[in-house]
Amino acid sequence: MRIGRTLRWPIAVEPRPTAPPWLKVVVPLASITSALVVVAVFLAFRSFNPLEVYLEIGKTAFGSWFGFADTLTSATPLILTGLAVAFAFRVRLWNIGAEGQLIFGAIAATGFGVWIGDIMAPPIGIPMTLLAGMFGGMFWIALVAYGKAKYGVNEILTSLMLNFVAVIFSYYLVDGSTSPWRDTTLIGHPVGREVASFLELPRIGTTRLHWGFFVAVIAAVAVYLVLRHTRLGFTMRVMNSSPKAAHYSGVSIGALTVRVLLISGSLAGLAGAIELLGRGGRFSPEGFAAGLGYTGIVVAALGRLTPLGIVVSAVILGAVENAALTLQSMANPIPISVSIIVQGTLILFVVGGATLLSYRWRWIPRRAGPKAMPREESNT
Amino acid sequence: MLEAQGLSKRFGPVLANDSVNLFLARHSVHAVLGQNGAGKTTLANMLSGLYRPDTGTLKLDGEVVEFRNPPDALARGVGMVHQHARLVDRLTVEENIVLGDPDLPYYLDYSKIRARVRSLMDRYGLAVRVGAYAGELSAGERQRVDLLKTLFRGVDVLLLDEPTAVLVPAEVERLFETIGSFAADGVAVMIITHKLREVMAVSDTVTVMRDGRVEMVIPTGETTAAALATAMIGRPVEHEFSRLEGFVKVGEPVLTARDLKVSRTNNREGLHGITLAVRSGEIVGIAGVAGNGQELLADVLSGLVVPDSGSVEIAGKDTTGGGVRAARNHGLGYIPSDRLHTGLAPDLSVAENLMLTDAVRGGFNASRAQRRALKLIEDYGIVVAGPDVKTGTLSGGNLQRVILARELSGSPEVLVVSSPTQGLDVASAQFVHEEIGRLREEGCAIVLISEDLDEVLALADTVMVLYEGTVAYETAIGDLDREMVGLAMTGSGA
Repeated sequence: MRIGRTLRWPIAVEPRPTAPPWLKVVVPLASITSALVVVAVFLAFRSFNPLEVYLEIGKTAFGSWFGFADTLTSATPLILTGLAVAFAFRVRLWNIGAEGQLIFGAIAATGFGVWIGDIMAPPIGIPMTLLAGMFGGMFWIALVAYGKAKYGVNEILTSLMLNFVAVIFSYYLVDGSTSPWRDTTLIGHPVGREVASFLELPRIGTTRLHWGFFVAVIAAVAVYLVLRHTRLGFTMRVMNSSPKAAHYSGVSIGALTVRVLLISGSLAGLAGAIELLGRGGRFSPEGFAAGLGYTGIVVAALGRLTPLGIVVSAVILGAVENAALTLQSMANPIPISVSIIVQGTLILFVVGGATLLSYRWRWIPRRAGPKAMPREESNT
Repeated sequence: MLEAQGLSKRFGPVLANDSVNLFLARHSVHAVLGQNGAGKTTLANMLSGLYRPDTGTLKLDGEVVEFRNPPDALARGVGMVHQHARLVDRLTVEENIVLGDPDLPYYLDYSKIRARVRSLMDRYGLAVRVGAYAGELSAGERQRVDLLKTLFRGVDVLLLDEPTAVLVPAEVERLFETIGSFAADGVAVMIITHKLREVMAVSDTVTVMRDGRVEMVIPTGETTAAALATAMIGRPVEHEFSRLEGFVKVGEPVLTARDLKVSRTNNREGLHGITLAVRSGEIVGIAGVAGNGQELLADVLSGLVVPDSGSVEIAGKDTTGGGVRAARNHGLGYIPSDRLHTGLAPDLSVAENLMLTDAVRGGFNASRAQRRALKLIEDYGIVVAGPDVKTGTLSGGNLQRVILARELSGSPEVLVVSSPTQGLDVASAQFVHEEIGRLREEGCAIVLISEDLDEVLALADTVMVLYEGTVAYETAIGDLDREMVGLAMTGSGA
């Protein structure tokens, strides 16, 4: 005879290999909405009108062509640092050092732009300077890569700590010495030397948006192509799925680690060069990186490590950061830290929502439990 | 004592247990016999609270019970000992034994605990090194600790899942004596096995399972090994595997290893001077109890591990320091025993896994891979919805077919195969053996490593027995002395 189910929970949670396509759209949207609702509660507690605040954010970030251009300008370095973090994480390497690599990208780009770039025509000079920035980022991650590949040194620690070294080194170059990076023609607070103005990235119309945004989008496409269609990308997927299988099939894990980290560092370095050439061409340590590298980790997580997701999440975070500045200067100022709260809540909900996607939730109608069953069979 | 009525459990499309009835009595040893995939372990997992049956009831001493989880079952006197002891390596034997005991006092009086452990040890002849860390113990000792852990909590029903799989023959004898003394003390013992000899040696009653159903329940004394085998397989068989026939021309040595040495570590035995030569068309079978250096030898031959000293030559080229690439470039195929994580990347598609070893070394071409995958899926009978299915979702037999398809379709000159049929059903195992035989006829030099002695004896032309990282016995199959093999495996050979 059949005897009824005895589950205590009327909901069954089962893993599933793939989610239906519509869910992949609905769940992230629902996650973002939920995050906004939670932040709204917080805002209401501080007696702000959440709707008003959100409307203001939307108006500032997307409401006008200039606002939107500013949003994209802020998103540009975030796309690149996000890609840098995500690329390394595709083989479970944590590059927390995008901040430092970005600074070294800017240092290298300044150096190149000041001495060599100014003898070149812009069509060659600009790409070469950006390339110099990429090499700067690579240089700064090389030590991390070497330590990881050769001795298994934890890359989280080394990449993180080198950020502080990079920041302090940049202060030494500009504030602490009369190095060629310091503009000695100016008197007063030390500032960095300016690269030739024709090396600066052309702007779109009268906005602050510069061509760097398109370079970042091209980089995202390139990362997509590498991951999807090249041997390197394939090897990375094998490595991510099972390092043992990678070793078994003939991958040199040390060499792969170095290659992936160098590419990751070069993306962050490119962000540094673009920030330099897109925002005035003058490298001054104060607030240059301002957490762009760390925010890259947030962007990568929010973008679920996919190039398209990273572009979208960089634009969202760029919008929030831009709008936060405006909100602070409103009649009833909202603290700038609201952008951090939005960031954190978004991450929780989007990453959490994505996790739920890999499970199926099924409602099971409760049936009669064992106590309700007849006992005539207990004949032992 | 413990009675199961009409237990059923379904996993997706597979009905793992179909209305299984079982009665475990006090003072008795009940063997559950069946092939891989017959549903033995599923049954035990339901009895021990790990799985919840879809339908059916459990009765303990005539009363309907429902176990929430294994600790709940253990609290009511039903304990299970798994094939691989689940111990915490960094804890001592006695710490492992008391771990998870809800009645543990706040202050741990180790002298008292040790005294109790020792009295249990003496009573049941379970010798373990009290005070040693679990990580230092041999597989047999670990299992005895697991048994003690269960006994420490006081059980009326003891479920043993393939307890002899990791043991050497002498340890098996000891385990059987111990099981006998449990039964004498009034415990109801259930032992899961697929070895007939063990059923005959230790059990009072035997339940034979096939395809999730109970095929036969009979007192052991009233049946014969042959009758049980028939019930288990479903048709009478003479041998588990038939010997590969066919005219095979043995040629020159293709794979040569000289004096391989790798130092031993805490986790594994090393290699202490192993020399072997495999000729084309020859299968060299490596037998031995698990953990005597077989896996390491396979890894060294295929370039995954670089030996401390000694050399490996494939087709006359030294590949010793060249890693996997050098070995593969000179015609090596390798089928590792760990299929899902070493032989395959579980998150990648079947098509991607079929080109894994080629694509990593060169030539990444998605559309060609797709075409090739379709052909290999067809040729090797891989049961899968399509080449884009994630490999990790495949069954054991199909995983092995994917690896075989990849490694054999390249027509390797040297093939290293490790435990090729472990966990496979008879039909899949037969397929694997046929493929190995076909490759031998093509003149491939094959090293076959298996813990299943019968498999080695059925396939190999030359048999080597490894014991503690050295060759304990080596012979051509025609001159083989079964007794010598047994002695060499247990370290008592010449």
